[in-house]
Formats: sequence, structure tokens, C-alpha cells
Amino acid sequence: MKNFLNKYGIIISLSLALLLIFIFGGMYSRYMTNQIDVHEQERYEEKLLTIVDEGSSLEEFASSGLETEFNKPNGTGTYQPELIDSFLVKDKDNNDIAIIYVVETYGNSEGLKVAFALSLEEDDIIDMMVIEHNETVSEPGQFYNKLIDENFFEQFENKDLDVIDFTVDAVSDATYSSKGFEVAMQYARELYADDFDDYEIIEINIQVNSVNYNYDLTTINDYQFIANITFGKDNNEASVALDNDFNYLQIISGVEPTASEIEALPNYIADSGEVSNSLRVVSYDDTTNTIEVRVRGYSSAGIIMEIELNSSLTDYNSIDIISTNENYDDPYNGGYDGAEAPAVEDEYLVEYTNNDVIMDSVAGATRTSEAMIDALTWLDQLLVELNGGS
Amino acid sequence: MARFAGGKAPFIRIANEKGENTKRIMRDFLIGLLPVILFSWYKNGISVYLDGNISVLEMFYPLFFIIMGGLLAYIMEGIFFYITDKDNRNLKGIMRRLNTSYAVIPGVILALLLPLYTPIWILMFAAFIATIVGKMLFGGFGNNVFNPALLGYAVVGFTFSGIVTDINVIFNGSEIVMDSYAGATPLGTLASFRGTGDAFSYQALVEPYGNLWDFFLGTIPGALGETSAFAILIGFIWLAFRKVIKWFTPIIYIATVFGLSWLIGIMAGDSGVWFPTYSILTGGVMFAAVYMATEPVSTPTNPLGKIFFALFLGVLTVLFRFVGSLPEGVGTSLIVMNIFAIPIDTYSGVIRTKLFKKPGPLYISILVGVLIILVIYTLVASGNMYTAITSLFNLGQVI
Repeated sequence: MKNFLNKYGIIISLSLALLLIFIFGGMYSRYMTNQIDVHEQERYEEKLLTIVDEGSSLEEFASSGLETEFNKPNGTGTYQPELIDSFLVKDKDNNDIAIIYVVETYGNSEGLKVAFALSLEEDDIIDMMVIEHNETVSEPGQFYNKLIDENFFEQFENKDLDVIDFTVDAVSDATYSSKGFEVAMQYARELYADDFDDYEIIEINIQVNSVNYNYDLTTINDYQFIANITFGKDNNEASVALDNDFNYLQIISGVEPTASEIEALPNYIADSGEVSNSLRVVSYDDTTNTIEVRVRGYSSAGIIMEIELNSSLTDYNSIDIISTNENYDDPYNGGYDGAEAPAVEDEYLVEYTNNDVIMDSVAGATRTSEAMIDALTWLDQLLVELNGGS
Repeated sequence: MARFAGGKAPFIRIANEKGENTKRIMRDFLIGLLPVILFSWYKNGISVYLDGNISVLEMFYPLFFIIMGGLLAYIMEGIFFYITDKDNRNLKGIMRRLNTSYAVIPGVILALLLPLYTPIWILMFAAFIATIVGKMLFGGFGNNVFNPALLGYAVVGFTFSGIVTDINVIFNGSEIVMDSYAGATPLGTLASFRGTGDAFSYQALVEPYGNLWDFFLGTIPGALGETSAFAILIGFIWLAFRKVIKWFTPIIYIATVFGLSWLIGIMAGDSGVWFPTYSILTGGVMFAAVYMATEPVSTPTNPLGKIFFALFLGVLTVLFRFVGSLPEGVGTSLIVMNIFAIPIDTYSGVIRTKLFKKPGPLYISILVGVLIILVIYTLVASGNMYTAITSLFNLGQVI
């Protein structure tokens, strides 16, 4: 044994030392390498936690990871945003106060990773954070940099999830990037709705059956349009009063729409094409039976007319143009070869009052003609209504 | 005045003073490495721990890794001696051989050249290459052609580049939290300018890491031992004071890199002194200048040879750094120059004794001529300034 140790002891010791370094040093080294991931995750979560001021800790959350397609900003097809992570945010009392979704979308390039923190109590976006991206940053003041310069990201802060038009204003020169962030926000809301039963994305379903001017002189000062709509899951019917901009004013008959439906109503009315809001009733004076209307022509200021009705409210006594800003006779416009303004307006009124005729459009003064035609057609219809439909 | 042992030729030089022998030199060299070792431990372990980013176990790892570098080299040389020296296969014999082989130094330098998260098995392999292949197979201490540590580093750098590069993204626990440079080393950032035509900018190259003071102190990402010019400077002063190294070799090398980088910076659109300063404070320039370009075995021995060696080394470093595919340039240039150490030593030795006699002028012409050609080629080939040169000197047609 002694001889053996004398002969081989040193090489065994050296080899054993090498082996021990390999095993235990390797374990230590492996531990260190693993710690990289641990620390990265710690830093990542610490970073995410800064989005929510009251947040004290994060807890991993198993989200549904809803599958839904969005259009790519460059219009080359659709894609499925990817849910990277989801965490519940807890306050110092360990109450769940928010959820953070880290999603990856497509901006100008792939790999737009954004974290959105949604408040569980308020159902709004607390704030967001860009985790990483491949958007163009090489040009100062342009592309992604412009989003920062123009405070694009502030739009997300405290944004209500129940807003019907759940979009953000894109920044010119960075529209693809803007769209990428918008999709991330919309996807986060869809995930939120899917993960939490007590929140539903408001779905608006309105069918516009008819929209007409309000010809009732007793209410004409209160609202200008009356729309008949069918809405909601139960196909509720309602007749609603609208102002000049199609905003909801009051229910006339039927079921009252919800606040979200009321918010969405102007867009539905405008999109229906049932009526134009180029003509507005400015006022009706029931002591003098005078109606003042303004109709938009070539000029945005339009033509203001005063119509005096007879005492029995069955016909008009006079129609006068109070003011007009039309300028079809300006040589700059070209095409019009008649007398100077307001010749066209006057001619329409003469033909209408003398011959009961609404003239066709006058060449070179098309927009003014259309405005006069709208106004006189409206008056025609008013008189029909005042005469019981005849 | 050098002292020689008496008697008939050949003359053997002996220590100038008693005790001033190789053992003392190697001990001093190891002491000269201490500032770098301690700073490396502080930067990658202690300070990160104090910031609350890592555990105690992680805090000790940088020191462990450096010690392992030395220990592995020591053990491997011990095994080599056991295998090759049949007459001394005992503890006493091997220890005697090890005591005159100074195995620890290349191992420690090797560890300092690697990033913190390099796996131990790669360090073992690198130590094997450095010690056995780079040193012992050439005949052991005093006979190696290449700097052993550098050879080990170069082999694992190429062989396991994927692993080492992946780990390179993060150099210590603190750097995980730093978003500003997204894991890129300063030289990696510099490399990203290649082919873009963009002028070097302080904002892109320096600011993500702080300022040039941070570069000097060494709080920037990098391999364990290469980041702190401050620690290296302390080591340099100690080594120069103790006459372990020739003071002018690091100075000439760094000045060459500084000068050429400045020229390249000017031609690339920025004449600020910050760029050449950045250039010498990034990567392994300072570390190599003090601890590797001065290595007594693989570099020329006479002063003129050392000057030429340092000049060539500086030019090649800049050439490889700005033109080569890898961002560093120091390691490659040192290995190349290790090969030419003997010819340079020979030529410069002849030049010293026969400056105006044959073949002195020829040799000096060769060395100076090659150096000038290399400088011109380096400047021309450094992509960003190519256009500038052609427009400035109208060399376009010639080139």
C-alpha cells in the first residue's frame, strides 16, 4: 500500500483535484449560469411592477391566451398577437389590484413587446411599458422616435376599457408602429375580458331604420332629427331625438339605449346615409312664426335663410336670405358665367316663390345650388307635414 | 550594469542583485496582477452583492473563477511533469519542478481574459491549451513561442465562440438590469458602425456605458480583468517600478493605438480626443499592454525589439479591430506578433550593433518599411475613413 501510494499517490491526488474542480466547480458554474435567468426574471418583474404605483408584488397568472386575429399594419394579412406573460399585481395587503399582460405584436417590424397594466377595479389601463421592439430608431425625430417626441404613449394612460372607439391617435411617419401598439392594447382588453367574467367588452349593435328632420314646430327648437332604430341583443326598438350633429338628446318612444349605445349612435346615423346634416334649424320663433335655417354650401359659413310662415302655419309668407358667403362668381373658381353672387340664391328663391319650382343645379355653382335645393326641399317637406301630409 | 557568471563562454547572465531572480520577478508579476484581480472581484462580485442584486455565493464566484484558473494550470503542469519526468514521480520532485515553472500566472491571466459566466469546463479546456499545448509542449517555462494564456483564450474563443459569446451578453449580475446597452460590449457597439458610413458618436459609443471616467475606472461590461484601466495602471506602476517589465513597451503600444484611432476618428467625422481615449480604454488594450505585451518569453528581449514589437502590435490591433470581423483585435494581433518576436529580436539586435553597417540599414528599412505599409493599409482599409482619405489625398486612383 505504501509503495502504491508512493508511486501513484501524487498522480491520483492531482487527478482527483482535477475531477473535484470539474464536478464542484462545474456545479458552482452551473449555479451561476442559472442565476442569470433568475436575476433576469427578477429584474423583469421589478420593471413590470413599476407600471402600477400601488403594486407591491407580482404573481404569475394563467391567462386564456385568447386566439384572435388582427390585421398587420402594412396590410399584408393577419396575425395572432402573442401573449408573452401575464401577472396579477398585488398591493401591500396582498389584494389583487391589477393585471399585467405582456403581448407581442407587429408594428413596422416583428417583435413589438408591450406590457399593459389593467386595473381590476376601474376596468381601465393603468399604464403601459414598451419591453422591447425592432422599430426604426436610427432617424432622429422620425418613426419610433416621433412616438416619443409626440407623447404618443400618454394616450394609453388611464384609458377606459369601455370606450366604444377603443383606438389611439396614430402619429404620422410612425403609423405602423402606432397601429402595433394599438393592436397590443386591443388584444390586452380582449384577454382581460376573456380572463375575468365580470368584465365584458361592450358590443354595439344598432340598426338605423330611418332618420328624418323633425318637422314638428312645437319641438323643432329642441331637436332636429328623429331616428328610428333597432338595437341590442333583444332587438329593442326606439324612436330617438337627435341634435344637429346626430347626438342623442332624448327618447321619444320605445326602449332607451344604454350609455355605450348612445355614445356610438352618431357614427351609426352618419354611416346610414339616411339624412344629411348640412341643413340646420337655427331657431323657430312661434310669436312671429319665423324659422331661421342655415344650410352649408361652398362656404362652411353657409347660407342663412329666414322663412316666415303664415298665421295658420300652412304656408310661407316670405323667404329671405339673411346672409350668404358663397363665392361661385370668383374667377378663381371658374365655370360660372352668370351675375355676381348672390344671384344663384336669389334665382332659386324667385323660381320657388313665383313658380313653385326647385331649379336644377347651376353650372359652376353646384355646391351653392345643392345647398339651395336642400333648403327648399326641406321647406317643401315642412309644408307637407304642416298640412297633414298633403 | 548586467552581471555575468565568470569563466569561459558561453556567458550566463546572473541576477544583478542577490535574490533578484526569476522567482522574484514572477512573484512581483503576480503582485502586479493583484489590483486587477481585486477590482475584478469588487466589480463583478462585491459591488453587485452590496447593491442587493446577487447572493453571497455569487459574490465569491469571480474570485473563485480566477483562483481556479491558476489552480487548474498548476495541477495540469503537475500532471504533465508526472507523465514526462519519470525520475521525479514524487511529491517533492514535482513540487520542485512546479516551483520553477510558475504555472499559476498564465492560469490567472487566462481567467482574467474570460467573461465571468464562462463555464468551468471551458476554463479547464483553456487551461489545458494554455499550459500543456502553449507552454509545456514547447519545452516549458522560457521556451513558449506564444503567450500561453492568450493561446488558451484564443482557442476557446474560436472553438466555443457560441457559448462564450452567448455568455458575453451578460458580464455580471448588475448588468442584467442595465437596458441602455442591451448586452453589447463597447467594442460590439463600435463594430455596429461598420459599413454604415455613420460618424462615430460619443452618444452611441460612450454614453450607454456612462462616461469616459467609467471606462477608466472599469465599470463597463467586459471580461473579468480587462475593464479597469485604473487597476491596470496601478499594476503597471508596480511592475515598472520593480523593473519586471520595460515601461516603454505598454506606453508605445497604447500610444500607437491611440494615435491611429484618433486618425481614424478624424477621418470618420469626429476629431474629438474622446474617440482614441475610448479606443484604448475598451477591450483588452490596456490589459494586454501591461501583462501580455511585456511577457519576457514570447516578446523580443532587446529594447529596440520591444519598441518595434509594440509599434507593430499597436498597428495590428487597430487593423484587426477596425477592419477584422471580430471587434477586439488585441488577442489576434498579439498572437501574430508572438510569431514575429524572434525575427524582430534578431533584426533589432543587428540594428543595435550595426546601425550604419551592413546589414543594419537593410534590416531597419525592412522593419520600418513594413510598419509604414501596415499603417497606410490600416488607415485605408478602415472602412469609415476610406472615402475621406481618397478625397483628402486624392489617392482614389492609386488605391
